[in-house]
Amino acid sequence: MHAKPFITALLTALFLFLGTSLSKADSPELEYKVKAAFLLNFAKFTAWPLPAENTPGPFTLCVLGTDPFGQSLDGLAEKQINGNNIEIRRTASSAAIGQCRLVFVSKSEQADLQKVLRLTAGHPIVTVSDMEGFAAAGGTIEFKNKEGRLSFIINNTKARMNGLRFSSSLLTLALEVL
Amino acid sequence: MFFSKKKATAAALVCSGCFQAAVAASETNEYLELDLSQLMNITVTSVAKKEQRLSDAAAAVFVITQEDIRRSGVTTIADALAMAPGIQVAKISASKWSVSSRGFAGYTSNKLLVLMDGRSVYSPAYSGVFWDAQNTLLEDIDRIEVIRGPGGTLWGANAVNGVINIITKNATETKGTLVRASAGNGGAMSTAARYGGALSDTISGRLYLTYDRSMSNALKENGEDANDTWKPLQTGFRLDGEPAGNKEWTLQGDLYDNGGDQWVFPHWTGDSPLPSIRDDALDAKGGNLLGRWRQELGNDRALTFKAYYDFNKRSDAVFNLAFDTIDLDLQYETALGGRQNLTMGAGYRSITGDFDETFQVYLPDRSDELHSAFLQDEINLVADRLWLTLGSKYEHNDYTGSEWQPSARILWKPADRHSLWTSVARAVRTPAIVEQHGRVLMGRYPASLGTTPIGIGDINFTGNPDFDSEIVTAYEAGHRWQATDTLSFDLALFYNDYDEIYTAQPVQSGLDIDSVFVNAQSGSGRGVELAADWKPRSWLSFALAYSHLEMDLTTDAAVGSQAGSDWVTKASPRHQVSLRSSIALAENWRLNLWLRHVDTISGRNSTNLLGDSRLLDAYTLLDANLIWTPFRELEVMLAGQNLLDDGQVRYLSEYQTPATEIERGVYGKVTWRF
Repeated sequence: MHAKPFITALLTALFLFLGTSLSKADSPELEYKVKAAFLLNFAKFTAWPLPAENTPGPFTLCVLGTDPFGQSLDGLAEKQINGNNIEIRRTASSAAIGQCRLVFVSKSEQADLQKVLRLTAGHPIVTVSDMEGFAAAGGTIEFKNKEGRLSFIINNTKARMNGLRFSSSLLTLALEVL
Repeated sequence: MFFSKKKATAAALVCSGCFQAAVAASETNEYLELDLSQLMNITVTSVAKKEQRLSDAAAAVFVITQEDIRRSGVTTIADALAMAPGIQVAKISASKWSVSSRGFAGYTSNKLLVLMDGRSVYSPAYSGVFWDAQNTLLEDIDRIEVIRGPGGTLWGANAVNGVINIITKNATETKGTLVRASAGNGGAMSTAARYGGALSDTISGRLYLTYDRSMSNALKENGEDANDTWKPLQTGFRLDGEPAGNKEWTLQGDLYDNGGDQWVFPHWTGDSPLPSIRDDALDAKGGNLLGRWRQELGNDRALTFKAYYDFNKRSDAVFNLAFDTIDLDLQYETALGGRQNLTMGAGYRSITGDFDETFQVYLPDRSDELHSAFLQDEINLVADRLWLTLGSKYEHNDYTGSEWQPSARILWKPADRHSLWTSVARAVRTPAIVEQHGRVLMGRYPASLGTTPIGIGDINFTGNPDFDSEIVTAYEAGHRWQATDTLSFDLALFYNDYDEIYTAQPVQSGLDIDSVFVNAQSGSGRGVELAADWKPRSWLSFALAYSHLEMDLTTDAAVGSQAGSDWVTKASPRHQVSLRSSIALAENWRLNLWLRHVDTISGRNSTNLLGDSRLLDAYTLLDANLIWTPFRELEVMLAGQNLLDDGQVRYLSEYQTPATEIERGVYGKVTWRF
């Protein structure tokens, strides 16, 4: 059967290709553009306790630590949450996050994670991060990369203790609800 | 390959209306306009980058998502396929369907390749799919990719008019327990359970068990019970591991034992010229084990190895067959010089068939091998605007020897919201065992010499060792247009040039007539398929699918009459429309409606295949269901199928099944996830 030599040749060619190796970086830009859009949606589907919602003034969305978003967050300033404009604050100090409704905790804060969680405990602040194990540790929402696509884990137990409520559609879409 | 698991994810992106994903805007963040489910469909890692650019495959692709399945209220995979444009789904009885793509409908419809998680379920006995044996837990299906048109370059023989990829979820996505129970009219019920969890930090798994009992329908002739209850019992597992970020593996398997009842009609026994009707039991058993290993090698290179073993056994009054299949498949993808993506692969398949003769069918025991290799290169001619994909598959099989299946595809994105594609491809359907070496009793007649009866003659479909592959050369074009953020269109046009299509040539052999399989039809199939998606409000969505099909086939005059060709061209509807709507009535309530209209077709008189065909009326189906989700863990569904009519005959089986009216169905279902 003359198929075999053909296939042998092809397999040989195939393994020759395996020999060469170059490396190309991922596109963090795309990833954080999409994550920025996730943040907007998280805010839309979260209910904060009444006093806070009634408080006029901007919706404060904070980035704690090294900002991985760059310009991709800027478009959020044109959006509104519950009729309030969004104000983006970038801060290096966890002491400042008491003013935030939603905080993205950058990976740079890994070492200070316990401190951040202690400061937000009992306050209606949505904490979001892409640190591994963030939700299990007591953070509100953790980004998960599943086969190249983004999903998220929600720690609903902790969120409810802090007075936050999520819409069922957000909980339904979550990869896991703790 | 542009139909690979990951790239098809990107195709799903197209179809769910998130075209913007591929738009590169430097200043603003265009993703801010998307909703969560759209965002969750975007691939963001390096593997994905390639996929994203390919988000529009240069082919007619439609993706049926898990959400589509859930909202449609369908209870079988075959019924779900009716959501796709270009696909003809006609239920013959509770356990039998005619599922075809771009024509050539039939219970033994043979020009559509079907894969479950990469495992071919196309039967080499008669070149078709026994849909009653293709089950899994519906909730575990991630998506069904429906690709119309030839897929021979990637998938090999028999993907003449389409490929259906049924893809189940990764085990990391099915954690927790699911329990489902439903009951309906006509004795319908279903029960299912699944448990999934993490076995370690890097390994997840699930186990499932399903048992269904379909409702029975009614005979057209006298309204009596059609005796078509079908009872599939199936269990299976899937393990997924990700030992490192660039390595992943899957091990999965299923076991099934499907029983049920059927009338076999016409059933030819003894020497009677008259067909009998036989009360018969359905019995299909089988199982499979599949393993897949994928490793990213950096620089957009990846290696995938897949192997599976499949066995299936079917014993009833018509078929008594058992198959063992071993399949090995290696695939390698690499970027080449920044502008090219090369995909190549090699495969081996061994198929052993073991048959017992029944009154109707004789097949010799067979042991066959299939060797294949393919190469496909995708070239980005103009950055982010124009791509050319060239490729071919080479196969060597034990029936016709060597087969080449080349294709060329062009994708052009003239503007951010538009993509246009065109392609030309050749695909073949290789002979089934029956066509070269089998015999099927199709009828009996009282033979006479003048007016003197001289005995009973058999009419047999008879195998022909010289029977060759059927060939299609397909010319296709399409346009995808994201008109607004909430409205998208997907149009496909095709012209299929068919050659060497099978028919049977009557040859007198004593009193018997042997209808010998020959490649003696040629002609064309032409059509238009449109899918539109509109989400005017966050709580309201519509999905429209329209298909138009024109066929012309001619039988070589030296071989036989034109009647056979005419019947084939009329066995598929010229027009089909499907409109689905999903309405969130309140936070926890959702109403889903599905309206389908199928044009008139011809059915064959199975007791007299040489006689006239019968016209089957056009019909309109309305399915509706109401889903109530009182809390996250619980879902209650009340569903109605075929609500406008008591029942209608949707297809007349060429043989085996008496005309059956598919009746109205109503069921209630409770699903509990925790």
